[in-house]
Amino acid sequence: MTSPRRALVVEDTPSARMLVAALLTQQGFDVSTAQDGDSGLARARAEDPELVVLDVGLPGLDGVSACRALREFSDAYVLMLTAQDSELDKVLGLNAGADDYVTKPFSTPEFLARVGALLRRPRRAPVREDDTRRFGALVIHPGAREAVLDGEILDLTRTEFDLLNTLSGQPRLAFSRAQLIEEVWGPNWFGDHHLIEVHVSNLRRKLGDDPRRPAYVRTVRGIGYRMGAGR
Amino acid sequence: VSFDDAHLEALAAGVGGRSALNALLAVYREDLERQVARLREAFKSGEPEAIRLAAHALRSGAATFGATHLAGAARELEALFTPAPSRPRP
Repeated sequence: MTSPRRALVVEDTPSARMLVAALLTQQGFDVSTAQDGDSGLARARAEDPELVVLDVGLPGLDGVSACRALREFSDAYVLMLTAQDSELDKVLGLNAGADDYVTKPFSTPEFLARVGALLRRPRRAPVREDDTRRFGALVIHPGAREAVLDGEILDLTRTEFDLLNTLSGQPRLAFSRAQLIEEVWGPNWFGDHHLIEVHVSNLRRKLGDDPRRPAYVRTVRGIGYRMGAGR
Repeated sequence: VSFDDAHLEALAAGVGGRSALNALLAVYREDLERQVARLREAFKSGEPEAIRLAAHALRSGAATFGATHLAGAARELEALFTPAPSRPRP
């Protein structure tokens, strides 16, 4: 059984927040909500949603700034809700890394059509033009084969870096142990899949990951592993 | 506040049924009270932009939930306090 897709709704007006959450729940999403930009970012970091619906006119940290901050660690689809039908809101939102926008008030069919269209798009390439990948306090430079945690370069073996590089290269994908072996050791390698667990355990230790609640290398029950949003 | 039946039907279909919609409408009524209070405050302040923004919030919620007449009135109010675009000088 596949786990439900996760969505996050960040909207300060309670009825609008609940409406969007209800619409997405009916589409099969596991939905969480937040009422301002700061708590929305905290939830996004903790829950790593696939879709974020973000109101532009949030109190405190506004939606455009929140979107920009979100893009530092997430490749989620971002749909902005704009209160004003002004080009400025749209341009600001899209420049900040949003994928699409819907102008309020919106109709139910319009909203659902936009979400459906968004989810049919291929995922954006993660995050930075120079291919630097950020997951909270962890920064990965694939070209330099370097991983930096809290500003300190990690002492990773070749295999540990290859594992991290593979997982972080497609952070939305859950890799089976067989897939990871194929990616890291190559298609002609035959051996014990528990080997992966040993290397993941070492990698987690170097990343400071709590094995019970890992922030970086997450266990996907019955499948294998995927990248987490970090801490 | 009156609601458009066809709009409510569409909303109910989207959110999983009539009881889910009723719960949403109860929350919307609370929002509506706050939006009306905000509009009153905006009029007291005499700030055209505050009135426009409060009218816009009122219109947005009303249109989303199918309170068609209220949305129309709020739209007129919003238009009244929206500055005309400046014309380029000849």
